[in-house]
Amino acid sequence: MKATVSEIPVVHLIDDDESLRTALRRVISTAGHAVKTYGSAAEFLLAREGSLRGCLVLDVRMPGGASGLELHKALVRQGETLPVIFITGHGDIPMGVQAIKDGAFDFLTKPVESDCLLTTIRDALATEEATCEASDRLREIAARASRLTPAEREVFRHVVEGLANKQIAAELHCSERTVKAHRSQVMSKMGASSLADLVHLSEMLALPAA
Amino acid sequence: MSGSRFRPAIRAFAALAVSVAVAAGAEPPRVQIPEGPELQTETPGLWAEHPAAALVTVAVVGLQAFMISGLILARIRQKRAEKELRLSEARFAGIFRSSPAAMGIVRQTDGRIVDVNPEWESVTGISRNDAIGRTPVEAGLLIDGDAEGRLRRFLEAGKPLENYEHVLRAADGGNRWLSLSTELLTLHDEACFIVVAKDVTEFRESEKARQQLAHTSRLAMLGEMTASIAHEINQPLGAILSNTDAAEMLLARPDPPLDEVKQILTDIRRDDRRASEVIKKVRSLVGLREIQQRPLDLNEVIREAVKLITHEVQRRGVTIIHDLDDNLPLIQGDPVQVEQVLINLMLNAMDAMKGVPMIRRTLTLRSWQKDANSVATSVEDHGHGIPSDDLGRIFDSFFTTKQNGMGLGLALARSIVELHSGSLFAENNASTGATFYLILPINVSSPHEGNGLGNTRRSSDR
Repeated sequence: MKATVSEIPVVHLIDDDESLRTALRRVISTAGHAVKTYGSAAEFLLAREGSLRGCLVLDVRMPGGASGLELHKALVRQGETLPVIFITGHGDIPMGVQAIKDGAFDFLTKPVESDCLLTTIRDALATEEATCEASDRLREIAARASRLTPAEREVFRHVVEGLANKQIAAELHCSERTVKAHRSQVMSKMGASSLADLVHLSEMLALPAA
Repeated sequence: MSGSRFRPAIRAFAALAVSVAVAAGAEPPRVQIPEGPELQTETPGLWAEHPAAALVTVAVVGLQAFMISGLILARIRQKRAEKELRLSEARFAGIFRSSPAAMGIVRQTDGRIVDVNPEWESVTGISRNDAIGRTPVEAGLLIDGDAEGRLRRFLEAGKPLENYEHVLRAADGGNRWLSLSTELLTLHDEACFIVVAKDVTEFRESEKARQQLAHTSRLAMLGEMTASIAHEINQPLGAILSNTDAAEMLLARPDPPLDEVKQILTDIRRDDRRASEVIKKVRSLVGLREIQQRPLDLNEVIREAVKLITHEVQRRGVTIIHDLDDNLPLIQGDPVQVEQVLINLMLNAMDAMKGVPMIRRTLTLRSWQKDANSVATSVEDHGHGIPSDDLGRIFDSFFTTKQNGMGLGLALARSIVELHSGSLFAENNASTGATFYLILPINVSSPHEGNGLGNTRRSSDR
């Protein structure tokens, strides 16, 4: 039930200052995470292969203006859901706040305290995993729902609305026995074990995709 | 002088010669015009009768005349020389008296003042009567420290001074600065120092004002760069902090990887030095200092200047291109001041490119040997260029096109360059933007030796 891309989560670290990048890498990897480092946004984009699991840690300011923020915006546009943690310098706090509004996971101010960094990374990875799981689940439910016949779908809808079998039969102009048969198909195809489950599943299906 | 010694002898000799001549009774032979057939008789002349004596007499007279005329000529020459000397002394005295420069004469043997001119009296406020016969210390001119000793050493050394700066403490508290030059010469058979004093108080004050202005301008420039400087210091500090945490975590393991820990320590030391360098650089820029001229490698100054504004460069998304001549001869200059000029030019260039798309935001730094005596460097940008109306005025004081500009950067830059005997000017590029050219003279004494900035040798920085 894990991600479709079978990768262990990787912390992607982007900072143009070599010594800081090395030091942060040491802290993150010693804490037990897999780390990949890049000297610039361009380097990161070039090395990216397929969908990424993990999180992104990057400096708000990098050569070429506020390209940290620009990279984030570009990733969002591309539908990348990787959590982004910004590192900001003194005076960049408004930028950090804006980044969060734009969907960044969090921002940390320099000098970066290691325990803060590691906690934030752990939270980001946990969130990412939860999100991954949720979207995987949703995908699965949608796949199941697509296997319902049109008639089964109708029955599904009415059952969830709270109608009794007899009422549904009246609605659909068929026998109650037919309704019961469809209903049990829906339950098994959807993997529901109770009416409550079914209602819950239908709510999830009604939610717009992330 | 020599004539007077010989005079009695010559007088005696002349008397003897005259008496010999008289004794010889010299008479000119008479020529008789014959009247008829008479016998012509001649009185035998002196020559015929006493040829030897006559010869001696003529010789003596001739010699005497020769010697007398020699004496007379010598005497004439001497008198002329004496007259010339008197005229010369009078001329000297005249110059001395009327010179617009303050002059004094001090005897080398005892250091006493022999004479002073009216301008000297006016500059020092000491009258001629009070000065003559006293030493400069007694007259109140030299009062600081071991004045007596310094004066004595100076007199004994007997070497001339050139533009020695000396402060005169006036009675009313106002100090005047004098620039003293001395020459040793002989006057009236005595070895004396003639001292010419120039009042340079105004010059020094304007020098101080100029230094103050340079200082203020440097501070203003630094103020603009505060964010950059803070960043430059905080980066290595942040790395040190993270490295320390990593090392701690590694050492907490049951089998710590000591090699990695050692590497971490090396990196920490390197980052510490990085931070120190930035602070050192900032302090050198902030300190109020006088110009210190030394042999400089212009390329190194350029590189240091770029390093200092690295963060600004990154922040503005500018790309710097270096086109520096490796075999550049050394120039003579003050590293901090030259660096200040370069930073100013580079910041201006970057300002000019604010609206330019990033891909064209390039700043090209070049250096080359212009000719046998000078070295050139240029800062080229691709900004909006300089309006032709302003080209002639951009180096004027208080001329600025910036909203918050003081208009002092380029004016000060030019004055610094001129103090280095160089030149600074600008041209618009054929394509876009402008180029600023900085020409500086080559250090003649050692064009290809010496160290670069010599920063580590300066001990006077605060």
